[in-house]
Amino acid sequence: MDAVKSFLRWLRGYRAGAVLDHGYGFTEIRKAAENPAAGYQNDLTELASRAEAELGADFTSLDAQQKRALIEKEVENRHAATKELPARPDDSHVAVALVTHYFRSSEANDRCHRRQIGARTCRDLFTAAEEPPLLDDGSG
Amino acid sequence: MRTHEADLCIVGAGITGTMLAAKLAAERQLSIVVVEAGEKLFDLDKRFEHRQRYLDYRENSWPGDFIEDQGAEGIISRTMAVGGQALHWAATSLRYSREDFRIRSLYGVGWDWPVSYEELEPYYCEAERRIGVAGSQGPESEGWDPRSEPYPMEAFPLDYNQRHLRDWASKADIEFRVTPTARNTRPYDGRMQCMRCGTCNICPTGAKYSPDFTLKTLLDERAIELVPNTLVRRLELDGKGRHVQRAVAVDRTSGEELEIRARAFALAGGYTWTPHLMMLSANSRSPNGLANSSGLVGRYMCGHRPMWALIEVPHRIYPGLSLSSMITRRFMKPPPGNPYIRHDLALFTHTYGRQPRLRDDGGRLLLGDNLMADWRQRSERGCARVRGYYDVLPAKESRVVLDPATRNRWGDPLPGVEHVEHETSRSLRDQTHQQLMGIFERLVARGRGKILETFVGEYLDHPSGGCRMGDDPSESVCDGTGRTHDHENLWIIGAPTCVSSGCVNSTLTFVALSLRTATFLGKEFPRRS
Repeated sequence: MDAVKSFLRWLRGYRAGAVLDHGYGFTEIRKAAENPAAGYQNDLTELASRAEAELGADFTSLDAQQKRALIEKEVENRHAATKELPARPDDSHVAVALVTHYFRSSEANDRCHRRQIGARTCRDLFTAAEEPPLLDDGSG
Repeated sequence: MRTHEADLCIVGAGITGTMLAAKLAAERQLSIVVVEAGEKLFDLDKRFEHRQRYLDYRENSWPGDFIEDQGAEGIISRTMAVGGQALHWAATSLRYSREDFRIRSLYGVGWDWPVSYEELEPYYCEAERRIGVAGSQGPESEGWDPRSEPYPMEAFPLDYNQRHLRDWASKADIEFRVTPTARNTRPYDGRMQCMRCGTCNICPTGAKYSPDFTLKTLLDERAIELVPNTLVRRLELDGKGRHVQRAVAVDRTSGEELEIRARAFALAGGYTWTPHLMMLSANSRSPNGLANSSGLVGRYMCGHRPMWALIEVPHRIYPGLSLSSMITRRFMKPPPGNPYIRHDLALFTHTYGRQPRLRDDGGRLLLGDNLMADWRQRSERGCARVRGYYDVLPAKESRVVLDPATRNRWGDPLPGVEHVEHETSRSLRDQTHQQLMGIFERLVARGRGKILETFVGEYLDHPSGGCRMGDDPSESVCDGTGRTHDHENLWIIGAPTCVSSGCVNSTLTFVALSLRTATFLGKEFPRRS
């Protein structure tokens, strides 16, 4: 749920048309696309319709496996040829956007490596010489 | 018309203009006005916020750092603001090697500079002090030229990833050390120690040097007048044509025209905008632009070309741990008489092939735990980027041109940069690539690695030139001090004066050249008691 809350916070903070980074080597001035929230809402409506049509149930009442099956079918339909995750959430399916938001995070990086790396946090300069400590989440 | 008057007018508030102003203000009695086309972004208190927007949304980490209608084809960055491109530089601070200043004498190619490494060395030291460089001096046998002072700060410690990569490379008999950078390893010059925030393009703590810190101090001390948002459109000469009399500019906010009158003018707009302004200043007496009796303003634009390999290494690499690269200089010094095949070699961590992905190699959709398991499995072996820069000697036709079809809102034609490689350099290109490939293959063979991909840049990094220095006025725009041959009170600062580009990042050399120019320009004014 933390990932969902973080994603919603991200969505609320989105600024369509904001100038994007154009640091050294990138001379094109690009702007942030339209807010993807409306598209995500459509995706959720579509999932609800499919749940109703295929399983005769409200999507929220489905168990995790049923939800996952429906979501996978939707993502397959929309992103059959997509291999890489986007760099950040975009106009892809809301499920892909949520996955992107989480898996591109510093927290997910720590979980992947099972270490407290804290890639996006400000850290003591001299601790970097050591291997990062194990992640204390029961998975390390 | 509004008029600013000063002893010295500096056009451009990037790192070289800033260093010139700082040194002259400290050592000489003179009034200085610094004119900058872009905005003043003194926003240290907002940097954490900007950093977060950059991380979350990839928004511009320096809002307002460019001018919409002041772009150009072929340039390397759009940044145009008080502080210039060094607002979001990585702060890599390397010296050119002794050989770079004598390549004609040593290798029979290109041109010798009118300045030697030995003459520039004290200014390298001063540059390192002023911007605060952390580094460690390697042995001369590894290509580290002698230095007369130690680095101002201890080098960054090798991090966990780097220790593994250094040991991995040493199996191929290549010794890397941490690249010197203008980032603080201890509190320095009123700025704090680096906290490894991982976003050096927008350093939220100020541990990385950027010119806004120096400019703010100079303004607090009332040592300079800063005129931002003001685009200089042309320079005008006096009746005899030997002196620049005034700069004519426009206030980009109000549209008001203004002039800056000064005893001396220093152009610090960098490799594109300095020759551009000189060409825009053409008049009946100088139809090809100011200081252009040689016809070389905007010519001999140079840079170095990157070539790299992404190599899988038999070690886990933790993404987000390493902020610095490592470097070796041993390939920068072929013995005299040998072919001009030389380059640096830098070693970085990389995440190529080790990012989370939506599908596995079989095309199976990955979500949730499956995605994490796939990512973990691919992260067991890390990836390194091994990159070489090699000097690309410019042809005379490598140039800045005025493009009459593209104009800013004031009607001035904008520049375009066209890099053309000298035939000598072209003829050495394959051999240079072969040498680099040989090194990549040796690293792989000795270190149980695997080349995943190689890349050769079609662009030139750290571009410079356009007003090259020299002793012969028919072959250069300015002399070795930066003073133009044609106009006694017109000086060129930093990047445009370079004769060639060496094979390491160039900013420290631009700064050292600026400080050297300050010494000679300063002689026009009384010493501060």
